[in-house]
Amino acid sequence: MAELGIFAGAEIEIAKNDGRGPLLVKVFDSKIVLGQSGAQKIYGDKI
Amino acid sequence: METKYDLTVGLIGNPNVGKTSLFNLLTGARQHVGNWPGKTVEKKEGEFNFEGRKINLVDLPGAYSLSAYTEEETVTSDFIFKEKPEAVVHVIDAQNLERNLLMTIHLIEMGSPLVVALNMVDRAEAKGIHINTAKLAELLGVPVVVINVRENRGIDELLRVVLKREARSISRSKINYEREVEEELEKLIQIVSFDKDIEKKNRKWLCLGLLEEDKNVAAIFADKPYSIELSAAQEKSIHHLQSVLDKDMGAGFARLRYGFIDGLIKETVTRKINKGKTITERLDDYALSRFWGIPLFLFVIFLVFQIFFKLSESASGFIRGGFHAIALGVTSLLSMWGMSDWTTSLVVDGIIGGVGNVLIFVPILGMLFLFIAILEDSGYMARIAFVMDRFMHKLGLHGKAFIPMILGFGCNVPGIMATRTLETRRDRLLAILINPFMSCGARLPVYILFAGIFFPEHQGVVIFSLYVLGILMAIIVGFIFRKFVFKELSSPFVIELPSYHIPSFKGVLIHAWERTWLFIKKAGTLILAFSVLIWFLASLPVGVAYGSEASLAGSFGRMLSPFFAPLGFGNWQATVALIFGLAGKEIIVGSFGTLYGASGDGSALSLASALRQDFTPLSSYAFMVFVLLYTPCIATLAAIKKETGSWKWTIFVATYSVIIAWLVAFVIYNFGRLLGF
Repeated sequence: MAELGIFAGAEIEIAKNDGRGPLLVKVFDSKIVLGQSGAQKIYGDKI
Repeated sequence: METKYDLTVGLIGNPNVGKTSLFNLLTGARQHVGNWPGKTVEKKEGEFNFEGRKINLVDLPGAYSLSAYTEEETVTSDFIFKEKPEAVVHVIDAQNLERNLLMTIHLIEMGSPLVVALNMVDRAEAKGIHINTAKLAELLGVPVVVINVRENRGIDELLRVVLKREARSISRSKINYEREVEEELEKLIQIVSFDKDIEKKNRKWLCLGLLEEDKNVAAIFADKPYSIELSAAQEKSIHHLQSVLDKDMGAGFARLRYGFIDGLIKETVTRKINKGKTITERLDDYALSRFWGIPLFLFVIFLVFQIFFKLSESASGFIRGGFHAIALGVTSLLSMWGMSDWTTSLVVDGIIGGVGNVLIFVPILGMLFLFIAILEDSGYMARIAFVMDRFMHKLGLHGKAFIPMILGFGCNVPGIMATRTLETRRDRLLAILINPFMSCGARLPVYILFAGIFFPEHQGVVIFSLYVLGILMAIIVGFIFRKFVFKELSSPFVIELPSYHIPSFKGVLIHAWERTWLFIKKAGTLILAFSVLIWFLASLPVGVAYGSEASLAGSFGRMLSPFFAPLGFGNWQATVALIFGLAGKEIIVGSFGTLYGASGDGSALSLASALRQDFTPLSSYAFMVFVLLYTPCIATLAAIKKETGSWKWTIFVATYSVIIAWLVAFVIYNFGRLLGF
């Protein structure tokens, strides 16, 4: 995941989160699908 | 192929950047697919001439980086480090420079003779992203060439730079890390610098690899005399850096590199904020929507299967008819030459029939692969994975594993081959193990025969129930395997959603053909061998009628039929048909014809009445369930062997599915009897 730009300190935009099912996040200029279980391990601050 | 090349060039890039299109454009049809020595990873090579030089282009696998997490990445770094290509072309998507540059940084650090090919600049400009290429080349210290693969522009310029690059292959740029990292690096370099086998230019990146805990790099130092000293220093350095960077060194270094990239981007990229949605975003509003996503997907799949079945059925029918004609011709020819019936049958039923069994698959597979290639290249496949992720969680897998399952409904062979897209071995094995429960197209004729005879009024419902039962079994079995066999967690579900685009005709065709050919090569011989074996079983001892009770197959049938008696179909014909069905489940239908002696005039009526004597509606349903669940056909087993690389798992699938089939058919038959059917 770090390779895709999802690492501690990175800026990520959540493009879509239905609450259930995978999330859609925007990292740099690409859209990446992130499973719930993976996403739950990520903690972030709102900016 | 033993051709001498003037130079070898590696081609590398993230997924969906146009790398494969560039490869196809340059090499055309002159490409060959093999395996990297000792690896299951595909190796694609192709050759072409440019300005009098013969260039060997090697397509390098690996997705987003070069650290040795996956076999693909290992293959690529090995290639660059050991085979020393004259140049490495890194194809970059200008729309997403940051992410693409991570790999560029890796390649520069490795000292590879790099040329950056910047693709899709037009689309980036449309999005308001402007890149100063000259500045980028200066900062990276490698040539940057703007290309447009789709419109075939800039390619000659790229090749000219590649030819020039050859002469001056050392990358001049230096990536400096923060002081703490450089200090630890220096400590390791000190130890390594006494080793004359490690070239000076390789020292830094190898030591970086040690800090990143790269398994590949560790292996290089494993049997050095100073390895103990080195690993002690490595451990100390990592321990120290973990407190400064990140517990996960891979993530820590990604952050450092992205920091460097961030600086680069600030100097080379200017952005205009572009309001308004792109086409991809508009389409995704529907494709990924909570409400529209699944219906839209079902509609697309329905459409694909409609076209697929129509086309492949007529193509298969054509081939079948062709083989029938050949068989007839050869039969009369052989009898003219005075060959015995036995020899004639060996040639006609055994060999020609066997080759036919292989070739019947070709249009089906080719067509399926074509549709997959279209779905993949258009970008929709990644959306399917997104939409189906929740359902797949019930099976202990994630969305990506859905694609092999959907393919399984057509044919399990491409389904199993498609599990390659899954990252971990655990996910691949699990997906392979449940794939045969997806009721493939070859099983349908069996359902049609039996449901037509025994459930004429509810044929549709009965057949549908079998498909559902297959999915249910996959869920149950997936659950059991997850609980008891594969306890470790599934890999996190992460995939990139590429922009939609219209797939290129040539690219899709090449893609589909490659996969089909690979199947013919690998599975073809096995299917043929088994078909001949089955023929022998049906024809020995010499003189018996083909597949009759007196033949080996017949006596096998007699011997094994008590095993099936508790399921309601203890007649020897059913057993023999099931044995023959191992060669291909659609063969079961034809076998019943032969076994009940209905083949001569081929009247369906006589077969129906013969079957009615030996089956009740209930036992026919149990039989269909057994056909659905028991040992997959040889082609599927061959695919499983090829993809798992293990006979153990192949034999396991062959046996556990018989056990499950027996149990389920037993329960259905005996419950049904209790209920009075």
